[in-house]
Amino acid sequence: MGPRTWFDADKLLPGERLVRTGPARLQIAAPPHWWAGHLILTTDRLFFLPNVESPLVHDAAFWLDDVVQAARAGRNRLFVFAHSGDVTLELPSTGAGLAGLLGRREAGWSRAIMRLHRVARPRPQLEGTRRAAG
Amino acid sequence: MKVGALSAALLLAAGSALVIYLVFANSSSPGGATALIPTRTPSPAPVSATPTPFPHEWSAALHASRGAEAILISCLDHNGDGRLDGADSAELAGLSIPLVAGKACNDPQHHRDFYAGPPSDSAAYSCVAVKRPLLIVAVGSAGSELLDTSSGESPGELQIVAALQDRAAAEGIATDTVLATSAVFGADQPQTRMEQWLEHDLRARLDALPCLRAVMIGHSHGAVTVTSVTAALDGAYAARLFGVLIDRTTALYDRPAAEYPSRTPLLNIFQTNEGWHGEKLDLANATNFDASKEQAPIAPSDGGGGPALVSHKTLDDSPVVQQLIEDAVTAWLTANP
Repeated sequence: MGPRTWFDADKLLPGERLVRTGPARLQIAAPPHWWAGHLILTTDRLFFLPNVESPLVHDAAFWLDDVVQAARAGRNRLFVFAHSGDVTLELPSTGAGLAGLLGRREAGWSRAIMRLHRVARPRPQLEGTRRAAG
Repeated sequence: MKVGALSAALLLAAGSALVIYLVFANSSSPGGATALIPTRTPSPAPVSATPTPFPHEWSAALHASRGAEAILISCLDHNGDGRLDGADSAELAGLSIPLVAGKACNDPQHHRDFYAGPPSDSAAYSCVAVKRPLLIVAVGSAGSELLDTSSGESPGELQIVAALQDRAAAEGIATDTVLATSAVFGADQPQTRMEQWLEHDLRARLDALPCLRAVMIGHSHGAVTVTSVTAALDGAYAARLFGVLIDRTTALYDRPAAEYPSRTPLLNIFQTNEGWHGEKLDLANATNFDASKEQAPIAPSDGGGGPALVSHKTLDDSPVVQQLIEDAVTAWLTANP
């Protein structure tokens, strides 16, 4: 399928709101080890949308209620630990902005994820809906 | 007895000459170059009397993307069933490469056939970078060995790769580099399997980074790898691919490979100074360049010295050929920003 570089807001769940999106790379076990796509943060979910789908790219989608920690790893990298698994993401720097140049683009994401985690709807309320973008 | 032995030797020599003639009898003569890619012969560059000495390992000659370790592909048969496929690891899903017992994963301390380096600039090797990144893939001739640049005849390719890395860096383009032999050591059909391996690997890299451009450069059998792989990827990725063929020949290849891309631009450089040579390609997407008049140092395996007219072994060592390739790739990058 072709590249998917945007998130269709029609796929938001009832009561869900889009908070933040941006280009990101997901770390995968196989070469080439990083896969380009977009990271989407809503009031209920965090998920990675690959630009090109591939069996090499595992499901990287979390209910915010499940997230244990979104830890900054420096060099624009973010570790997301959740009850359902964990992923490493990289927020590529466009060269614009001090945060990118300093390799701290993950800081804003980390703060936003943990802030929303604290107020996210409990997972049982969302059971039966799709965690990923669909 | 001696007369009999001498007669047998003469018969053997005559037979060998006949075989060589038949192998190359269908080779075309040069001329009639198409002009899709500017092929202005660069100003005569000084040709040194001896080749530039190379480090022992291919990857050590790179100017960027160093630091990774070359692998022996056949050692990835983790379940030991004599076949490389998805049962060994997820990354091999879609591949099916039979291995030869006793030859696979043979002496991995001294034999490696694939190298994938880290990006020159990890942050800029991205689709949000100002300039689209570039993957450089170089495939060596028969007999190449990534741990020993004196094996095979393609060290000139490393000079081309290093120069392309430098030019890209000067233009602010992040690069990554893949080096490969033209055979999967220990596979049942070594050359054909390398085609499959590289197609699989490049497809993943091009999908992982949808803005990525890739140039594939191959010498001799490595140039056959380039035509086969670009043919396989042509349908989905032609706009992002560029192929460079240096004296492409299928002589002694493990199959009569005849697949060519129809859209991916090809720069085909060949010489006709000896029986072992490439040939003109009558393809709309190919630009041909007969480099028979160019010079290069004589190959060490032929005694060294020179300079002399290029041969099959030394075409990649010619400064004019190297500059021609570097200029053509640079022009392609500029035309496809």
